[in-house]
Amino acid sequence: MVAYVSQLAFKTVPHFGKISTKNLASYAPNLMLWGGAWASCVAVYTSGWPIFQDTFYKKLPYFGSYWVKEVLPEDKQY
Amino acid sequence: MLAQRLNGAKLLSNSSRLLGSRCLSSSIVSRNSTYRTPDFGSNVKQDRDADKSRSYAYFMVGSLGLLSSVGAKSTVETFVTSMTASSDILAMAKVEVNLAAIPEGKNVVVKWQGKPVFIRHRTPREIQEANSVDVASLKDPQTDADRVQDPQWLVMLGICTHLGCVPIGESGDFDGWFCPCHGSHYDISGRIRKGPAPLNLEIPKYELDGDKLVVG
Amino acid sequence: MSFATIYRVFFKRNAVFVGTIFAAGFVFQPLFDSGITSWYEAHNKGKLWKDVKAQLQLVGDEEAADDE
Repeated sequence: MVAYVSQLAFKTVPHFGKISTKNLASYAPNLMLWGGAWASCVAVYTSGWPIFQDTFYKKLPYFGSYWVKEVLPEDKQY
Repeated sequence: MLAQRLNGAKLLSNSSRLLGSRCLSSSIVSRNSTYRTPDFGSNVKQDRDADKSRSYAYFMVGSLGLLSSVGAKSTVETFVTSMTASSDILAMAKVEVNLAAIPEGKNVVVKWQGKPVFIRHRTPREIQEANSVDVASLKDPQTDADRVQDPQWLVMLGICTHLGCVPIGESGDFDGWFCPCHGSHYDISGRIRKGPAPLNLEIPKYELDGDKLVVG
Repeated sequence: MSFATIYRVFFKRNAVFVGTIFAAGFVFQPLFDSGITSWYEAHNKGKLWKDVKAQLQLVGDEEAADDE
């Protein structure tokens, strides 16, 4: 018995706009690197922000001491 | 005619000799051009390294990016920091009270950020009285333990929650505070018991350290 | 490390290039600040509060010694 193919069966890859799982996977390493770049950008712009200093930067291994400002009790103004 | 053609051929051979392999164009204009392309050979480096010059250029671009991002951050930070409270404001933000000078059963009013702060050294009987109240029956239900750090010391803002008058101590129907403006009665824990005020007297942020009280 | 390696590692991918710039910027800030501060303190040695305070304490100790 000969099996005939009447027409080619096309199926659309599931996608969101131009993003599909396949090209997202191929972009993943690059996107992760961009994530790292973004994180260090945030770090630059929040390095003077006290709550970020207390939560992250004071705990850094080598540079952490830079953000710790010690004022002796007799030099405190208030 | 022949002379002209000969002349053209001579020119062509002349230019192609001058230009060598660089003469790629075969258009009439370029063939007839008498422009002598200079020989840059002596200026071209013998050991050219494309990676070196490229890395140098990218390094310079990156350094500019680094300095400008750090500079932009510092500029923004300067403007934002200028909006923080100055030292004189911060110096006024706290007030210290020596509790040893307050005898049991006495009120003291101190000024903190322009507002009166009531401090009462409560007697054991008053503490018992404050704890014996049925919380569910109150207008603004709050236990006494929620309002004090040490039951002996009651610290609260002396501003009536109704319209902001200063209540009078040791008076009223509940032996606490009485607001003369519209007749609100507060009990010995500063809770509203009778009158128009909707809420209990506010508790400021404070710290007790032995005999020292720091409000703020 | 040859220039080819430097180019390949740091500059070829834009994400790495930008990330390196910001990471270096983050490290650069404390270094620059501490550098400038230590230069300033060396330049103004003797006029700073910490030096004046040490002097005052010395004078105070001498006066206390005189009283005794």
